[in-house]
Order: sequence, then C-alpha cells, then structure tokens
Amino acid sequence: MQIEGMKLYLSLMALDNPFRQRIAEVFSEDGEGNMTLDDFLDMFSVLSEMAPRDLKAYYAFKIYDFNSDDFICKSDLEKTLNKLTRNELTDDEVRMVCEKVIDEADLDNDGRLSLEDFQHMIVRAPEFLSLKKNGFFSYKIVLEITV
Amino acid sequence: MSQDSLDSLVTSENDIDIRLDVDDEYEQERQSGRRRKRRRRSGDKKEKKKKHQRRRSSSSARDGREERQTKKRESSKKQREKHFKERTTERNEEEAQTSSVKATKTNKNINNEKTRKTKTAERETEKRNEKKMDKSPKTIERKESEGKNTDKSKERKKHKKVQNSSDEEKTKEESEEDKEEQEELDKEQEEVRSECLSPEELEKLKEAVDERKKLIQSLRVKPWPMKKKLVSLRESQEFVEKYEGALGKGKGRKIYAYKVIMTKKWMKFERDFENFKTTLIPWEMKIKEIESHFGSSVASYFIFLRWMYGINMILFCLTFGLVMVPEALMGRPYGSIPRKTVPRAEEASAMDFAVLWDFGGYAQYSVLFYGFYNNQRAIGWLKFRMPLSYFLVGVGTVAYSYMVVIRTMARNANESGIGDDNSFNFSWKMFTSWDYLIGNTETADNKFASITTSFKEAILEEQESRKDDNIHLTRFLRVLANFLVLCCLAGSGYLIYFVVNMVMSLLGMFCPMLFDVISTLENYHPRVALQWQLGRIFALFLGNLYTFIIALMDEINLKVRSTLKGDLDRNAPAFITWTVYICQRKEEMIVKYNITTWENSFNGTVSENSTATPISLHPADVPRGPCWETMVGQEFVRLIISDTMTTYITLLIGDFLRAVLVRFLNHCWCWDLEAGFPSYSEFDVSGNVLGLIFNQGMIWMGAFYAPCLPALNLLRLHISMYLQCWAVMCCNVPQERVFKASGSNNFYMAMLLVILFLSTLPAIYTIVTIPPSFDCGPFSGKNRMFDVIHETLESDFPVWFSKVFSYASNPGLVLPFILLMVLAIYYLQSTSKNYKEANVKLKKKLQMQNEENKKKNKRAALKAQMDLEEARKASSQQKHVSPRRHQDVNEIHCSRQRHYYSKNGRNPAPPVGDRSLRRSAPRTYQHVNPGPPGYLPGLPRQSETRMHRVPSLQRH
Repeated sequence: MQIEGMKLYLSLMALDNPFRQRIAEVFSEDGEGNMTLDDFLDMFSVLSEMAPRDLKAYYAFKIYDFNSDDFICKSDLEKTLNKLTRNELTDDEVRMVCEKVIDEADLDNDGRLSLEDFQHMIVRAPEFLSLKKNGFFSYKIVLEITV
Repeated sequence: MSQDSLDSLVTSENDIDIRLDVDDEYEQERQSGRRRKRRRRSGDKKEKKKKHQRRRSSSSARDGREERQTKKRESSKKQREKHFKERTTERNEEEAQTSSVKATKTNKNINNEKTRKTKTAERETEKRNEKKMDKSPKTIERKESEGKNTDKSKERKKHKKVQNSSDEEKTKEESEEDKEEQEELDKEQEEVRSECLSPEELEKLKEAVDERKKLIQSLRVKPWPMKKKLVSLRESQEFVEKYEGALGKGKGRKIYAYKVIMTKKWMKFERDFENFKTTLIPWEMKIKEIESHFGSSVASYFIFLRWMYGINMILFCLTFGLVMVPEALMGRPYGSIPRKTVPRAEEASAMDFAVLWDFGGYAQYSVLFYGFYNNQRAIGWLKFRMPLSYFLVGVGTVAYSYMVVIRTMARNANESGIGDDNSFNFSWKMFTSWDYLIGNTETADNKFASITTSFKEAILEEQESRKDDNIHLTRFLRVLANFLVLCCLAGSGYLIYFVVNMVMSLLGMFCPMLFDVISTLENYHPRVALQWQLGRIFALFLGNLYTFIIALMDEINLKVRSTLKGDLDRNAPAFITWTVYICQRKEEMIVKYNITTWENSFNGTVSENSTATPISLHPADVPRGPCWETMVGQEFVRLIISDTMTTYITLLIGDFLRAVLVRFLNHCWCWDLEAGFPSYSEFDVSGNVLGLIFNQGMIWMGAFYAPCLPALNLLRLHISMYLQCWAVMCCNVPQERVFKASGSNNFYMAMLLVILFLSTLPAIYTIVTIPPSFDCGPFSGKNRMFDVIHETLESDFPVWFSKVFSYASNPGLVLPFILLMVLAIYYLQSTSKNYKEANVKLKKKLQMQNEENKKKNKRAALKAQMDLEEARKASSQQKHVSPRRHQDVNEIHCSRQRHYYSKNGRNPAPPVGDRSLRRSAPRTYQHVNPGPPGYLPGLPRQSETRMHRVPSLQRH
C-alpha cells in the first residue's frame, strides 16, 4: 500500500501532469493545495482502482472545473485543452474544439456543462467503460504509454 | 475470583442435578410462564456480562461459563446444548432462590438484579434520545439480550480496534469482513433472538441492519470527506455488530482475512499480467511513440508490418520445423548422393563469397533449396515422410495465409461495423485522454504529442465533414484525374510491351509521383486519397507485370536464360517461373539424352569386362540434369535480397542523407533548406505498404521452391522494423495534414489478398501441370508433385481408406459438393448483406432517437433552468450559503436538478427552506444510496464510539 501509494502520488504529482495543481486543490480542504492526512486519504480513495465510477466522475468534474463555479464553462474547457496540448493548437482550433464539446455534451443547452451533463457524457466513454485496463483517473502500474 | 470459581462449582453441581431429573422437570419448565423464563435467562446473561468486564480488567482465567460461551460460538449444535443447560440452570436457580439453600448465589443474583435495573434505565434513556420513532415499549428481556450482544461485540473489538485505527482501507476491509461473518452467523443469531423478540421487532431490526449494511457498502460512492466517511462507517459498523451479534474470531475469520488478501493479490496479479502482456506485444512502445508523433496513418504501416512479421513467423516455423530441420538432421548428409553434392566443375569456386552471395555453390546444394531434398519416402528413425511433409507444408503455407488474411479482413469489417460511437468524440478526447499514471517526462511528452495529434486529426475530420465546395467542379476534377491516371497506366503498359527493358523500374519510380500530383486535383480527404493512391500504384505494378509477362510470352521461345536474368525486376517475379521453366525443359531434354547415352556407354564398358569391380563414381562427378525448381527458388531469393538492399539503401540515402544534408548545410546555404526545396522527407505510407505487399507476394510464390524464403523474409522484416522506426523518428517530419487512419487496415488486406491470389496461381500451376525434375528434389521420379499424396494413401493407409478416398474424389461426388458450397456461400453472403442493411437502419434509428432525446432534454432543461433561477433568486434573499464546501452546494444543485428532471420541469419552485432541510439531512449523492438510515434504538453515536475505543487502546 505504501509503495503503491507513493508511486501513485509521484506519478500524479509529477511535473508533467497538466492537472496536478488542480488535483491538489480539489482534494485539499482549504482549496489551495495544502493537504491534510484526511485529504490525502480522500484522494487515494477516489483514485484507487476500487473506487466506483460515479465517484471518479464526480471528482473528475471538479478537477476540470477550474473556476470552481460548479459548471464547466468555455473558459474551463479552453484551459483544459491548452493544458492537454501544451498550447500547440491555434486559437481557432481551440475555439472549435470547445464549441464541439459544448455542442456534444451540453444537454440543458445553457452553454456550459453541469455535473449531470458531464456524468452523462463520461460514463459512455470507452476509457471509462474499461476502467480497469485504462488509466483514466485510476491507479495502475505505470506503463510507458497507454493505448 | 472466588465467586467465579464458586459459581462454576454451583453450575456443575446443577448440571449433575439436572441430568438426574431432567425428564419430569423439563415438562414442568415448558409449562411455566415464558416471561419468567426470559427474565431468568437474561439475569443469567447479565451475570455473564459482568464477568466479562471483570475478566477484561483482570484478565483472569476462564471459568466454566466462559468456556460454555465460547463453545456456543463455535457451533449451533453446541449452542442448543448450552441452551438446554442454561434453562436447566435457571430452573435450579429458581429453586435455589425459593428455598434459599445457596446463600451466596442468591446474593449475587440480587446484585445482578440491581445492576441490571440501573443499566436498563440508562439504556432506556439513551435509546429514547436516539430514536423517537420507536413506539413499542422495550421489554427488559430484549434490552438484556442486546446488552449481551454488545458485550460479545466488545470482546471481539479487542482485536479489531487496533486495525480500526486510521487506515481507511483497512476499515473498509474490516467492514466487509464483518458483513461476511455476520452473514455466516446470521442463523445463529436468529436462533438466539427469535426466542426473546417479537416478530415485528425482529423485522424492524433486520431492516435497520440491512440499511446500515447498505450504507457501509455504498459508502465508497459518496463524495464525502474522509472524516465523515470514517465516522459514519464506524457508527453503522457498530450498529450492525450490535444487532447482528458478535462472532467468533476462530477459524472463519482467519480464512476470510486470507481470502480478502488473496483476492487483492489476485487483482494485483491480474493487473500486472495485463501490463506484462502489453509489454510482450513486440514493438508496441515503438509504434505508440511513432503514432504519437506522426499520427495513426504512419502507425498503421508499422502495425501492418508487425502483422506481416507474425504471419511470416508462422510460415517460417512451418517450413523450418517440418522441412528444413528434419532433412538436416535425419536426411542423408551432404555429399552422399549427387543431388547433395556440389558438382566437380563448380567445386573450386563453391566457397567464394560472390558465389555464396548469389546463392550458388554450397548454398545451392543445401537445405535452403528444393533440389537438395531426397525422394526417399521415409527418413530417419522416426520414419519421417519427407516428400509428403514437403508437399503438405507447401500447401499449408498458402492455405494458412489465405485463412489469416480472410479472417483478419472479416474481423476488421466486423469492428468497423459495430464500433464508432462518435457522439461524444471531442468531449471524450478532452476529458479522458490524459493518463493520470504517467510519471515519466518522456512518456508525458509523447502523451502530449499524441493528444495534440489526435485533436488535429479530429479537427481535420470535422472540417472535412463540414466542407461543401462546388460539387460539380470537384466531380469534374475527379473524373479528369481518373482519366489522367488511366492514360498513365495505358501508356506504361504500351511502353513495357514494346520496350521491355529497364522501363519497368523507371515507370515504377515515376508513376507514383505523377499519381501523387494528379491526386491533388481530386481534393479528397487524405485518407481516401491515400487509398486511391495505393490502388493506382497497385494497378500500375500489376498491369506492368502482366503486360511484361505477355510480352515475354511472345519472345520466350527465343530467349536464353542468361539474357533473361538481367531483365529481372523487383516487381516482376511471376514471369520467372514461366521463362525458367520453358528454358529448363529444353535443357533438360538435352541433358537427359546426354545422360542416357553416357550411362549406356558406361554400362557397355562394364559389361564388356564383367570380372572387374564396378567402378564407384564419386557423386560430384555424376552428370545431372538442370534442376529448374532450385533455379526458380534461387531467383526468388536473389530478388528478395536485391529488393531488401534497394529498400535499405534508398532509406539511408533518400531519408537519412537528405536529412543530414538539410540539417547541417542549412547554416551555410543561400536559402532555407529546411523550409524550402529539399526539406525533410515525409514518411511515404503508400509506397512502403506496397513494397511490403509485393515482397510478401514474392515470398508466397517462391516459398515452395526455396524453403529458406520465409526465414529470409523474417530477417528482412525484423531489420526493417528497427531501421524504419529509427528512420522515421530520426529523419522524417510528420505530414502536413495528420489524418486518422481507418481503424481497420482492410484496404491493405484486400490488396494483400489479391497479391496472394496472384502469387499462388503460378505456384499451383507448376505443381499441378509440370512434372518435377528427374534427379533432384523430394518429388523426383514422380510424374506430378501431387502424386505423393496418392502414394501415401496407397502405402501408409489401410486399403479401405484409399478406396473411400477414391470414391470421395469421384467427380460425381465432388461436383455436387462444390455446388453445395457455392450455394451455401451465396446464402451466407445474402444473409450477411441483409444483416448489414438492418444494422445500418438500426444505427440510423438510434442516432435519430438520440438526437430527439437530446432536443427533448434541452427543452426540458431550459424550463427547469428558468425555474431554478427563480428559486435561486428567492433563496438568495433568505438564506446565505457558506461556500466552504463546494460540494455541499453542488450536491444540492444536482439533487434539486434531478428533482426537477423527474417532474419534467413542471415542478414549481421549491419552498425556500428546502435547501437548509437538505443540508441538515445526510446528503444523497447517487441513486445507489438508499437514503439516510433511520436511527434505531441503541444506535451508538459518536460519543459512544469513543467510549469503545478508549479501553481497547488501553488494553494494547
């Protein structure tokens, strides 16, 4: 448990993880990334392989919700995309992708994704369906690149 | 202490008494009031409890009762016994009380009565505080039994408390353990309780316990902070324990713990094994790396290459294991017979490198080629049927290839038919593409690159689907392009037919470029464009090949082998068989004639002086016929070698040297080399795929005559895998428009199938129609190669079998069978067509429905949102929500929203107090949660939890 936990922690908090700051913020009680032991345990319980999908989806939503307004809005999407691609897409492309995402996943037509929308979308993702094999938001032995 | 021992004495005495007068007293007991009995019993239990406490503090030795209690836990059978004993003890106590014979005991009982009363009073109040719903008055008996149960659980806790410390995982484990054990011992508990509880109460209790259990199970789903989770877990665990009773800590527990550990270990092992399997897939990492930088189209080439490698591996195993190795181990050694010896004339140069490189000399007279094999029916101590094996391996190679190609095609078609749910394409890419386990910088770089690439691919797809230019212009351009391509093809055919030499390779070089230029006219999606390009080049090569063969047929009669050899082109393997064969036939006739005359003269001399010993001729000196099979094999091997060499050299010069020049000359050049004219090369997917396919065609064609071909090809593929991977990563740049390859490489497969068919045609033709050489190869001396089957049937199988076989091969049977097969194929084909259509229709329906739903949802949501806004406005005036825990608010939102959805948005705004109400109640997060469990009597609150914990910690 300890070794795995440390490994997980290291890989989570590795400099390359585009969302490491967000993860720390979401799981810390003060919202600034300072974790207590309980927060730490929280994080483990969510990221562990045993954690149910709904829980994962819930926390994933919180992580992608950068401005913590309980909705993933366009600015959040842009931030996510830029973090994922290291700003390599042009502004037009980013805008287009964000529009597409909103168009696809926004069920209530308010121009932003609520938790409901997010869950509705994410539980259908192939990565999510095969949670065990894939590394989406869960711990496993670190493979070079996952499919 | 003294009381304990005394007590035990008393009970034992009583036991003896009971046994004496058990029969009549038992009846009496049954008739006596149930209530009284209960009281007695509970009093007894109370005593027990007291003793536990005492024992705990002093850790004294166990008395007789304690022993009985443990016994009870062990098995229900024993428990029954104990029940009986207890009952009888009670009776005795009653007697004792009334007659006041045993003063000590009565005293003690009175004491117990007192403590019991005070305790029950305490409990009563506690419970009243905790549970308001409880209307039925609690009988003392029940309380007492509960008390007993808690007692047991406490005892159990001794072990538990330590583990139950801060580690959440363990707590969870524990809870599972508890549940399991509780289930195991449910029956026992029922037995105990059923006597002292009314059925309704029992039912209620059961419900509450179930609820708690559910809570424990669903605790993981709740997005609560850890503290809350722990507290509620502990509470409900204690509750469950209390009412479900405590359980033994004997064998069952250990086994269960062991089971839990093993399941965990097993899971971990499975995970590791999965990873291990991934690492076992050859070149997976390399391909992924390439894919992440160059997109899936380039990766598809490498995946195809790997697939080919797999096929060739099987082919190699077949030929190597069943033909080459047996012959080398068990066949006659080199030099024993003429066909296995280098002829005298070539002996001098047989070991030269140039000769060996050309697969002449010793290489020619080895297991690598057809001619080396002897026509001996069975070789070695295994009686290995060499000729039969050779023939069957040849057939098997082709059959296996057909099977694999067709199977893969079918599977690919299947995959493309089902999958591709693209409803959330971009969203999934956005939210699920990052792998949260990457802890390595290089990997992360790759991942970033691959995510960017995949986004670009998706964007391109999207743009392509949106694009609607002038359709007429595009159509015109496409027709024009196809016309031009047709002209090119016809022109090249014409050229080849009349000019023949060298033109083919030139055409093979320049036509693809021309096609590339033409394809820019068409304005296809790059994936489609690639397929067109591939198809056109394929047509060019094939057309050229066949024109060449036809051209050759015209002049073949006049040609000599030596001149022909020079004309061989990498793309023209099929004709070899023809030309070589025809030349060889003539040569063979001559040689045969020569040999017979030579033999005749030799025999003549021998017969003249018969007394002399027959001269033993060295096998190298024996004249031999031209072995055309070996020749064909040699040609193919040479072709493969030269082809491989050209590929590698073009790779090194065209890609690597160019990249080096561009890179280093850029500093001192007048224009920008990197951005300008030479630039770096892109990876040419179509050319490489075609090269691979044609190469494989040659292998299939030549493998029968040169068993070493699969081995060579394996080597070649292996090297080119590494070389090309390196070259791609080192000297190529990604295509300007990174596009997603179609998930299935069925286009490649289709081309491979065509080539397979075309390459097996000549091989089958030679096997069926041409008699094998008379003095070399495993089939020498036979009229046809397939006679070996006939021979085996006759000599190795019983007579009836060959008879049956001959009947079965009767045209009267074969023809209907073929007809049947054709019918079956037709039937299957038409049904599959129908299914496909139905599939498409259903897909469309589903899509329509999805869209409909989406629209509906949106409409409903819009309404709900408006309502929500109103509610928010109203509530914001009245209630200030502290934002400390976002999730609280969030949950409220979501539960409220769900509430709204369920009423289809027609629900009026909820009362203002709604929010605060929800906040006070334990929050519901998912439908999994059945809701807050009702608080039942005896539910230990947090304060009690602490109480339990403290002594346990002290004890250890």
